[in-house]
Amino acid sequence: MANKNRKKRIQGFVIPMPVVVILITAMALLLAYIGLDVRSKALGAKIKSLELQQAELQRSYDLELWKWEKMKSPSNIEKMLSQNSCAMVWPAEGNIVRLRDPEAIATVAADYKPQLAQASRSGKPAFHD
Amino acid sequence: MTEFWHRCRFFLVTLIVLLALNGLVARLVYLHFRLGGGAERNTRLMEVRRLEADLLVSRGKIYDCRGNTLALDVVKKEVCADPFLVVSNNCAKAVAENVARLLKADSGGIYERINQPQRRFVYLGGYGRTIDGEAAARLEGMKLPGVFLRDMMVRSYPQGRSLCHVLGYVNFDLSRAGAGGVEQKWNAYLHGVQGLLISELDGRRRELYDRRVLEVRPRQGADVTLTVDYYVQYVAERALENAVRENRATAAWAIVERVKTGEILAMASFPNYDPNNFRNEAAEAMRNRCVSYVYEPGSTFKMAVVAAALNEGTVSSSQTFDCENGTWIYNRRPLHDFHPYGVLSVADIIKKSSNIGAAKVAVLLGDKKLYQYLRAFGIGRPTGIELPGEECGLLHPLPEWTSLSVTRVAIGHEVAVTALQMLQVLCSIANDGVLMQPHIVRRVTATDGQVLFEQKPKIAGRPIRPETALEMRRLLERVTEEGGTGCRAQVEGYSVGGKTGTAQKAVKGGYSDVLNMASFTGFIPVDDPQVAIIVVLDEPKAAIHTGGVVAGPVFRDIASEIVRYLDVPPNTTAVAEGAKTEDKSQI
Repeated sequence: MANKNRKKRIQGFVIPMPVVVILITAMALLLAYIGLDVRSKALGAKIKSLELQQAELQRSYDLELWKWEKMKSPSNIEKMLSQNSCAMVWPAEGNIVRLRDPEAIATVAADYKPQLAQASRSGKPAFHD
Repeated sequence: MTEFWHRCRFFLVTLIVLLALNGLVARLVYLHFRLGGGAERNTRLMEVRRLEADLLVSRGKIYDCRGNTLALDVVKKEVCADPFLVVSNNCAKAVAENVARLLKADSGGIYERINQPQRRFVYLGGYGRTIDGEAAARLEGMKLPGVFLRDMMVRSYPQGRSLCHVLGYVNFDLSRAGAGGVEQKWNAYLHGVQGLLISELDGRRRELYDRRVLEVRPRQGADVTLTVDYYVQYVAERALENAVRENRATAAWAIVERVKTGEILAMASFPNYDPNNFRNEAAEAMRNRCVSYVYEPGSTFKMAVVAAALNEGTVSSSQTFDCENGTWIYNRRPLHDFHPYGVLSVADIIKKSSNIGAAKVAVLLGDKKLYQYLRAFGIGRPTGIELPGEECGLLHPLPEWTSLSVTRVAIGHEVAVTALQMLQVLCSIANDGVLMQPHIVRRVTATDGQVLFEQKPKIAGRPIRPETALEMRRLLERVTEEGGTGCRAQVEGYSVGGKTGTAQKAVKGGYSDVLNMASFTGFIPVDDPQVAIIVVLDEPKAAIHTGGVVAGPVFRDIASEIVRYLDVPPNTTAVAEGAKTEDKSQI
């Protein structure tokens, strides 16, 4: 009687295939859950920090706006001008040319373009009417 | 033996590790499921981790008609301290001295606040006292134990005292309700709605975003745009301040209004106050005299009487009246003129401002008609401007008039008005007899750009016909010509129409001989009126303190600058004459 091949015998307990599949699936789900949780937490933290950043920026904007408005107030401008020995006056009526007819504006603008003190970036003269 | 001992050691170590792990797992389960300790402990745990915060919201901004910001919320720092910590570090005196230097306050007072070890929180500068960014950085650099900074939303007015009566101010309490001016009247729009956040905190007291239970977003206050132009306002305020100083007046106020729309371009009142620091100001300085101070208008009122008589056809501008050489006895009571006059036409009664002439015109018109016209001009009722505290003035009901009333009302006594009411009378004359509803708020806009309120020009009445208004304009133009009472109100290159007024102030038992109200009400230019201005000075103490001498130049100072600023075209004839003079001088 021949001896049995001892190598072909399974030693110990073998985990059944379905259990392995279930375990691997559970592990995968668990990892996915952990991954999503970490990701949502990171996004939450980012949203939170952006909210804080936005609030901070809004605050600095308001503060700068306040400073700017204070700086450009007529009283401050007048104070600055007088500190620098400057005085601004309105031009004499005789020195102002008012063009009110649109056609006249078009005609005169072409002829007197170089003489006009104010010209827009497009090169067209600007009028006060 | 050795092998046995090795096995024992292995099992022992494994047992210890397993026991430790079991302990940790048990503790985790215990903490996670909040087992044991009863409901009280659980509640305490929940409270420690719970975050319930009001999401602060800033009030809406206030802009002028050109988009310049007049009021906004900024976050500033309040200096606070934990007295228990400061005292336990034995540095109360050093902290008090350093903070006092920074706040420019009395160190004794601050020391008293700190030296209360039983307390855990105090405001070192007092509630509502804030410091700017630089001072805050310096304080943080000092690293004073127990001293810390806290953010506080503060209403700020970058223009300082300018426009203070129109804007008002905001209370320091938690409700942050507006008090005075636009801040009060438009509080419902400006205030906004606070938000709410309910969430949980981690071990470092940071909010856990994914544990947010409730988040109600705050709704920011809507922005209010005014019709006021802050440059025009500045010009008016500067002129008033100079006038008060030069004439040693108690107070002065002025309004600039667009004749055709009823938009208020400027509303200035002096004395004024700083809305950024309103707690230290006197109550009298906080009064918006333009709408809440009633006074007897004096001669400026004559234009309403003459306009009514011309409209009724009871008189014509060329009709003459005997001005009795300065004294007229009517119903056994004398009425005087400032200068004695003989026979004057209605046009000259206005030009020379004759009391007797105006009274005779009123008598001819009759009580009833005069009363009806004055009501139609809006005397005795509020104009409805969007500002708090507007007075309605005083016009007695007709049955309460005495036999003398018609002659006294004709010269602006026995009747009281606000400056705005008086200006409205003039505006209706300048605007072809159409009385426009005065308004100071142009628009209210939500943060998303939605327009919540918009004020369009609205007709409030038509007290006189256009022809009468035109005739009145011509009569009022003569007032500022040579020989008129308002010649000091002339503006170079422009025709000006207006009326001067000098009213004695009512004191106990009669009228004061010394105290008076000087005013000038005018519009510019006469041919196509664009703006109307009223200037009132209370108790000027200059040698000559009539309206023409005191208030007329203030009108000129304001008008001459704003017509240039608003690009109001001058009279063609006046410009041509000016150019000719210039040419001659060059030759």
